[in-house]
Amino acid sequence: MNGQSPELDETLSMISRAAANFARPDAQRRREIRNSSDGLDRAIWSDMAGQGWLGVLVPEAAGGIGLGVEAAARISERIGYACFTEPFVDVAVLAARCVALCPDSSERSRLLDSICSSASLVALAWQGSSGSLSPGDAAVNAVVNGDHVRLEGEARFVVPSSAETFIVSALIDGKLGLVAVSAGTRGLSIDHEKTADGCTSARLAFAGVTIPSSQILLLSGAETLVATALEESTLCTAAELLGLIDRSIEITQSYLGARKQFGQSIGSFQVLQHRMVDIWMQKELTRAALMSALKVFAREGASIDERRAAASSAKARASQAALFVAGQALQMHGAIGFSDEYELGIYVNRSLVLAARYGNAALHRRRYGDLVHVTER
Amino acid sequence: MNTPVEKFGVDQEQDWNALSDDDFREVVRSDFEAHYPKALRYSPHRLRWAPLKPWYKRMAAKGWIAPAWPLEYGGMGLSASKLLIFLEEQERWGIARYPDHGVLMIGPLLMRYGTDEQRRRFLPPILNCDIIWCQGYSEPEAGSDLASLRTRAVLAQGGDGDHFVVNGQKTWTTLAQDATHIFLLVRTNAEAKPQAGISFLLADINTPGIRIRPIRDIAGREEFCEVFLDDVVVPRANLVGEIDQGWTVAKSLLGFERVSLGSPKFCEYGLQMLLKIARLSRLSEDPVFRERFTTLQLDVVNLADVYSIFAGRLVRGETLGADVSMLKIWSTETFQRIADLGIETAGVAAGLVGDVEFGGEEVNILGSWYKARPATVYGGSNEIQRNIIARNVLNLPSR
Repeated sequence: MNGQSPELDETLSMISRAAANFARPDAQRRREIRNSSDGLDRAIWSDMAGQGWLGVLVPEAAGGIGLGVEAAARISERIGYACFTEPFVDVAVLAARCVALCPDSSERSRLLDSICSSASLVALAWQGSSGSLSPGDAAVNAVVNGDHVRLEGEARFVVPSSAETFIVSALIDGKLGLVAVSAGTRGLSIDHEKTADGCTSARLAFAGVTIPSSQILLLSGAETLVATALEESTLCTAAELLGLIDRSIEITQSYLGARKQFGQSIGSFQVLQHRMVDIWMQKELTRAALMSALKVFAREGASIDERRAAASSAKARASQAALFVAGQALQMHGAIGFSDEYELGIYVNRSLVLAARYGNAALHRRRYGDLVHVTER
Repeated sequence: MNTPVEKFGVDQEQDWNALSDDDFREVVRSDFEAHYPKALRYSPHRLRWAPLKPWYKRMAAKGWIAPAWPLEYGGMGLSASKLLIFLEEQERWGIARYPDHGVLMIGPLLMRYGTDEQRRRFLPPILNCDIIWCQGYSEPEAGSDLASLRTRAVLAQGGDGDHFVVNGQKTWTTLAQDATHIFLLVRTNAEAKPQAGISFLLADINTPGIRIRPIRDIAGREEFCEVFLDDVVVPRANLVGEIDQGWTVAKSLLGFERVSLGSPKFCEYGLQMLLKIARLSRLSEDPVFRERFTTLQLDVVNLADVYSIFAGRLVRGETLGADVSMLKIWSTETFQRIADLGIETAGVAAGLVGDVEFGGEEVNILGSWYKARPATVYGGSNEIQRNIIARNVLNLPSR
């Protein structure tokens, strides 16, 4: 779609077709999964690995399929459309990109292998409670002592909460580095916080966690690397929101055609038609913002600030649009929309979670305003 | 689109599409900055043709009057990205719009539906600005319900061959005072369904029987007019497309209009005025203002994202669907939100009309607001645009 090489266009089309085939809306299954709490159907997750998706950003030499962020965004959009809560963005974009960007080590190879094969779950613990998008937001401190590292502090909103390995962005002797910590390590306590979509995110407390220093993936300079992965995760979450918006509109559109009141189908009422147009326009704006952002990400030589601004434009629009669409869709349905047995609710609840994750609309608008100044001329 | 049999317009200095985007932008920018009259920059209201004529005559002579037209018809033949750059630079330098129906609407229309004779007769004077058009669509009893129009045209035999005799009244015709020609929707078949009996005619504004009366608007300006038509004789050669097929012809024009009305340039102009008002009100750095400004800034950025998608389709020669209506809705309503924030920012001074002293400078505080209000009405009201999308894009049932 961005005028790139025909081979890449063809690969991307293949990915879109495969994703459309694989990820289909299934509200019943979603309700079953949410009781399992981490949002994961292991069979689906291993199928996603089988398609190569979990290694979409991992270089071929490291066992992945080595495609770019646009491929990841296409998969994300379709996952949103089907309302899959499997943590594709959190694992295959955020965690995988971070680990892949680390210098080669046996720990790096082991982690990339398990991500790509779905053998075990890996999550990046980077965030604290502030809601900022800063790579060093989590307040975890690490002190190297001979061949061991000792961690103290807390990280929050970690997804997937059931990860076997957490990659912790920690201040190692004052510099931001990355450390791999297994879930079962002594001194690490994991609190599962329920999220609106029926899943959980983890709150990690590190109290004297001591691990071998061979589990240090990166001693310093993690800011750039985590920021790169965060920008891509932000963009892919915008794509996932676009999928949620798309399907929410479809559900509402068909309800308006089927539901009759006052002897006619309610979709013939002008006031509802105009509301439908307003949510549809937000979908089109989201898609256009996403496409523009992907062009910036695909352009060699685009600066980090250009990428940040592009990601913010797309995520601000997607988050704002998703919540607007959710609210309007609920209103147009009437009471049925608010009941758990109806499909719309799972989309509304997932929209709430993803609109807030990786920076909500207000955060991204602020960041965009700080990055791109319109000046009087 | 037929291949023209003759050469239109002047030769282009070079193949613009062969330049890099940056180089092309530099060429356009330096030309505008060097030659466009400073006094005409960022006019808060529509300017009349007389003050603008020297600039647009120069653009015509340079071959830059029709950036979106193909080369073979005398345009610049710009690619989507180059066209956007051209429009962006026009906006950036605050270049005023002239009565540009000829370039935006009639030209593309004649390329598609016109005869070779019509193209030979009308395209050259459009390209050199000797013909200025106004639009004869709305009538006192036919606004949003345009298809109910009652102006009648009867085909008759005369000394010089077949012609139409037109009787009726048009209204809300923008800048008819400055026009040399008018394009008209007229009823040629009273028996057919409303849309099926309409034809599309071109007429010289000086034809006997055409009378123009300007209408004063609430901003105190005379930008639109009533046009009275009494036994106006229009040659049959001025019929565009088939007789009774004018609705189809006009509908394709509205597509062009909706793309141009959806250009981000109006909103970008509005953001500029807003920044000025904020600076003069000493609110530029106020966090509440910044937050609201950035929200609008992103509304405009995303408008530009959508606009470039539609502009790309247009330049590739694709037919635009009903979804293009969203451009007009989003751009005009965003413009209104920008203008609303402007008067809120100016405080009590927003009651002052015209060019006024404010914060030590001259500024037209209400300029954007008066410009923004009618934008959701003209060119097919936004309610009509929403009806179109609801029916043709979302396939919602009609009553």
